[in-house]
Amino acid sequence: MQSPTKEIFKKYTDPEQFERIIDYDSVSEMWQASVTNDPDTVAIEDDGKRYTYAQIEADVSRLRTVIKSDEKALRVGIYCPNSYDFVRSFLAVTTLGYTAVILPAQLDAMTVFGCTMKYGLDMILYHPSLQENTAITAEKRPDVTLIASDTQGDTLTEMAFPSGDTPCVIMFTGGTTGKSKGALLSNAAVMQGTVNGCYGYRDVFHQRYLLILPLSHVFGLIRNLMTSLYTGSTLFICRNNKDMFRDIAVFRPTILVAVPALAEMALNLSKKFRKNMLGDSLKAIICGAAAVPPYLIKEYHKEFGIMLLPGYGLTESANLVSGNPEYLSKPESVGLLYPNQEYKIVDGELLLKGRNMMSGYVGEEEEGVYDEDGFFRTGDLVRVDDEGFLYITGRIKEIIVLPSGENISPAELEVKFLELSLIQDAQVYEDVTENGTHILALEVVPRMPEIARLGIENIGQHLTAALEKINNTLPTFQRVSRIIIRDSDFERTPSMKIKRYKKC
Amino acid sequence: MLSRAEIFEKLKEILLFADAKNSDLIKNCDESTKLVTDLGFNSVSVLYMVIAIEESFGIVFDNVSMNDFDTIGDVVTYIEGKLK
Repeated sequence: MQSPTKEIFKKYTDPEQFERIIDYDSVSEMWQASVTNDPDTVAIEDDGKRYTYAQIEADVSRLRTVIKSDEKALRVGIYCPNSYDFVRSFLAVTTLGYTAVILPAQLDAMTVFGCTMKYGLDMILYHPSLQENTAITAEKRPDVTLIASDTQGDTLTEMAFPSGDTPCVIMFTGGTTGKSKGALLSNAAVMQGTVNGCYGYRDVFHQRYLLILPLSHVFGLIRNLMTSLYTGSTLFICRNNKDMFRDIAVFRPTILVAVPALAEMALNLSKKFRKNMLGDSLKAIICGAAAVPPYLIKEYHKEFGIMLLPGYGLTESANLVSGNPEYLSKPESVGLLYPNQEYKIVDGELLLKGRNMMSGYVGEEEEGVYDEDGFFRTGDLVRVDDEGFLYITGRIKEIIVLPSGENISPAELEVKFLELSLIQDAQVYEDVTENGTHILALEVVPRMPEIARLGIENIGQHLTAALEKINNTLPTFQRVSRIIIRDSDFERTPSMKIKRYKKC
Repeated sequence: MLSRAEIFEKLKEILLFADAKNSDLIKNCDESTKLVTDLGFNSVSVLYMVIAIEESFGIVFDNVSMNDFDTIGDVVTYIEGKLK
């Protein structure tokens, strides 16, 4: 099946701005257009300094000179925390037609060295604060050129204009199997991911973005940084998340790109201190990287009139695959598929092919990654409704096969229980009773502020009754046999996802 | 100037909001209660706590790592120092 064309998103965007949403083949083409269209607009605010599009291009062109002086530099590691230096380095590498390999700032010295081997790095542009962690590489790989990211060349070097299929960036991903891999994205893929961030809301160009996500994550790099640069917007780099509300008060962003846990934190703090901590200028929160609770969408709309737009994406798809402009009427959906993709659903799993998809994992076996027609296996179980809206119903590896042979997707059931606003998190899993019977069990974490607000006293009894009511609406084989109300959070992975139980 | 006991009580109220899922544990906590191992704090709840403390006490945290705070008592001591 072909995804819809961009026309399906037309009605959601200001007509004049919609006409300006065009496809570019490379980062260079996009960057040249932004510098030409908005030379004097501030593109980046960081550490008390402002940089216009024209100033950045002048600065980037000097760094291009430094990079180009090393003739072998085709794959360049970018080892910088969120900072202007990251932006400048990324643009310099990619607008030369070279490949940027994003090394997360938290990597230690040995891992940085390991990356030079695994990804065949010719050069690393490192932030001065991380120089210590390049020591092992300096000692063991003298052939890898190490350059501080604030280095300036004496002369200017023009950008190159590579074709769309030229490799652009390698991003780390957990892959669909949980093992860390490097996904190679072409220029066209990065540009499709970038332009996808423009669909589904009214005011797209000349916005004010706040960056709180790491630029080493595809959601931060593509949806936050690249879409901001594409749209002639201004990006404020928040150096420390604890300062985000102070930064918001000063910068007054119009768009925030955030994971659900941060969006929920901001909502709860706003309620506690009885003021909108996100500021009066904020119009939209682009929310993803984890399941977005419908409760959050409704609360943001009700309390502050802010659009919380859920979406779905993968590192392998250059971030966004779909986004939901009908967030109020279909809050459980991750939205409409963006243009230039083909998809199929095989045994419930979403398979993708298209301009935004990666060229492959670097240095990894490709067995099982693609199907016989070259479609990428996402590992996500989905359904699509009559109007083309996509819903994530689970992950393949999480599927529970009951002794009866029936397949249960825990995520699909959890969504049902999470419709109850009194529930913050839920986990459905398979357990075995004392007499050896396999059962489905449900554990939930209550949403205490909501419970306090409603003055509920006997929490366990109240929640169990409410959950039982939902349980009884499910087909018999999907019903849980045990409900546990937790008084503490679930154990979580470093990326804040719930660690799933493996009891059988 | 708030007394140490007053800071502790005010902090408890913040912790209840920062991680309301652990309300029973927090209600019964003392200064030796550990944020991560006893209360199961994660990076978001720690961030939440820091921001709420700044708002409530009118102080600004330095760029300290949250690993600097093992127990609730450590946080009380930090706030006490900032209020002086």
